[in-house]
Amino acid sequence: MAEVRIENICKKFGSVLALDDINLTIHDNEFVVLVGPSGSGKSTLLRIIAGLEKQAAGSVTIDGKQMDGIAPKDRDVAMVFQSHALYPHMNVYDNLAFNQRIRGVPRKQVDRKVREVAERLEITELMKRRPRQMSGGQRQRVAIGRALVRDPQIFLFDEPLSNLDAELRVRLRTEIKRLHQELRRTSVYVTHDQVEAMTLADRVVVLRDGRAEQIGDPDELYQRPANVFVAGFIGSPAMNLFPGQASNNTVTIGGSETITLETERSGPVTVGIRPEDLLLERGEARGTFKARVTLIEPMGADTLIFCVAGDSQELSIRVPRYVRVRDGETVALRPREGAVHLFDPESGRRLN
Amino acid sequence: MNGAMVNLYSGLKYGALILWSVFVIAPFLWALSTSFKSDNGVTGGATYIPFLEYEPSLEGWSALFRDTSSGGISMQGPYLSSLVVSLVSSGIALFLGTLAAYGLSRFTFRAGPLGNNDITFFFISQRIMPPAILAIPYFLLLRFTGLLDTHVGLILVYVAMLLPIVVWVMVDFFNTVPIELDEAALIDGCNPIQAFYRIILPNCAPGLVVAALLCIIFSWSDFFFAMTLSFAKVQLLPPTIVILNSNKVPWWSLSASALVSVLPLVIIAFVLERYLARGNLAGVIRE
Repeated sequence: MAEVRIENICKKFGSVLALDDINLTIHDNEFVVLVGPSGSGKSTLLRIIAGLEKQAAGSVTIDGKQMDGIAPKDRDVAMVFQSHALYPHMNVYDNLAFNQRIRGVPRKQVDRKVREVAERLEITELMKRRPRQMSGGQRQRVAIGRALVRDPQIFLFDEPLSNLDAELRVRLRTEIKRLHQELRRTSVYVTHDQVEAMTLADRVVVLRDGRAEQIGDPDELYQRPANVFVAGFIGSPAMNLFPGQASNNTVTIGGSETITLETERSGPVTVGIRPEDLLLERGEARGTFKARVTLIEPMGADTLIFCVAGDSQELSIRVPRYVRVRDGETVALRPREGAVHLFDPESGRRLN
Repeated sequence: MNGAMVNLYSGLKYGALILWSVFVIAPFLWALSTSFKSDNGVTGGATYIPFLEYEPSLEGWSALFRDTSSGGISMQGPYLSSLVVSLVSSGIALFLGTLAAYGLSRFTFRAGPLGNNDITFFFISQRIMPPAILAIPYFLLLRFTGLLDTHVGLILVYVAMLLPIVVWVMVDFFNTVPIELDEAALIDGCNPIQAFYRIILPNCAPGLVVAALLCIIFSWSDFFFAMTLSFAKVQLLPPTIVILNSNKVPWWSLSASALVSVLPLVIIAFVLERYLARGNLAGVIRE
């Protein structure tokens, strides 16, 4: 049982506000991902939870216990670092056992735990190796093992997969998710990769410039982004955003094309449509607009089509693989009903 | 390159190496052979081969341990003093210096406009001053505190001279160890002191060895401070050897004592050397 309450956390580095009034409750057994571009404060927040960094204001409460002045070692958290941070002068066994030994756990018990974890992660045959004698993936696996041996209340992950190659990243991602399903421990995971965030999280916190832009489950973030930033950050390729005019429940884009939408707003808006929500139609029809195909990227399962609408409005569309288009062709696009997002062009906030 | 060129090249290469080796080793051989000579062997022209060219004698070596009253030079006292002073001062300097260096490497210090780098430079800048300038203030200071001509006084002065070296060497080493290791240790269950001694310091063993060697070499072979700050109660080895060089030079004893005085350095170098080449940190730093 471990609930993490983060209340009004602020943090300054010099004159830069790294975290600005963050409020977040991480429930017991929940897997929360902090995601954002570099400099968004996501690692800082994690480090504040770990006790490696002190907040300027606000409080962290773990399991109802206020964490102010409590050393990292006494918070019952384990952390996996981006650089794995294995102890270079110890072999794998000692790396895994160190945290138990320093806590005075009896030898036999340590040995049992270490072997158990090694088996689970399939690193038993690496026990005698030093970190420098292993590959990046093996090291990160040992680093995860070091956290598992602790059997902590809370797992903290600081971009653990960022230094690995693409294939390994996907494999370990799945493994981390499986581990969480089995162990059901409260986990906080920092990444700049929105795919990692979407695939791992029960709940995602999108951070930018030290502020939480949106907190929600992956579906919510994808379907109802709270603002332009989240809309652009979550999803790949990014959501298409273009200027429009709203009046009388219709939104006009590109001067002449109109989309009917229920909105009380009138005046300029930012229209957002995801690549898969732009439907391709041949010929002209009401409610469509034209665009010229400039680039086609077949991805296998589906195809990405990049085109230009009007003079210079760039768009991307995701279509099933059997849809054939030619480079330079002019296509008609219809936004999927109910999948159009409207944002305030000034504040960036969601309108519908 | 053809065969003749290769031969010429390696001939030149080894020729140069042999020349240099002779240059380095010859003084030792000279000292070794001289230490077994007697008065006649030294003054009767240059001779090198014992038994053939001169009659070897143990006089030079036995004089080292004999009392001054019986014509010896009684080196045990200065030898022991030198060992104590150099080991203790090196130990203290290493202990304090690594802690200071770790602090400078891991924490941010501010003194007005000055930061960590300035403080580090301040440490080494103390060594810019020539010892001759420091000798008089140290002399006055030690006399004022009643520590002149004592082991403690010498140790204090040497610690002051050695600290900058340790700090300078170790800051660089600590900076190569990623701070994530400290943090991992803190989360794993260490307090900061344990993280330092159990995780960070072992990974800086090569730096520690370099610093230790520099300290011991300096404090063991320093002549200047030993000469000016001690004279009667405490005598260190280097001045003792040099004083032999007075009216009638006992070359044999001088040579023997010179050889004996480098012995600890050789032993320590051999012991510590195996800790030097350890590429433990490879693969820890982000790739």
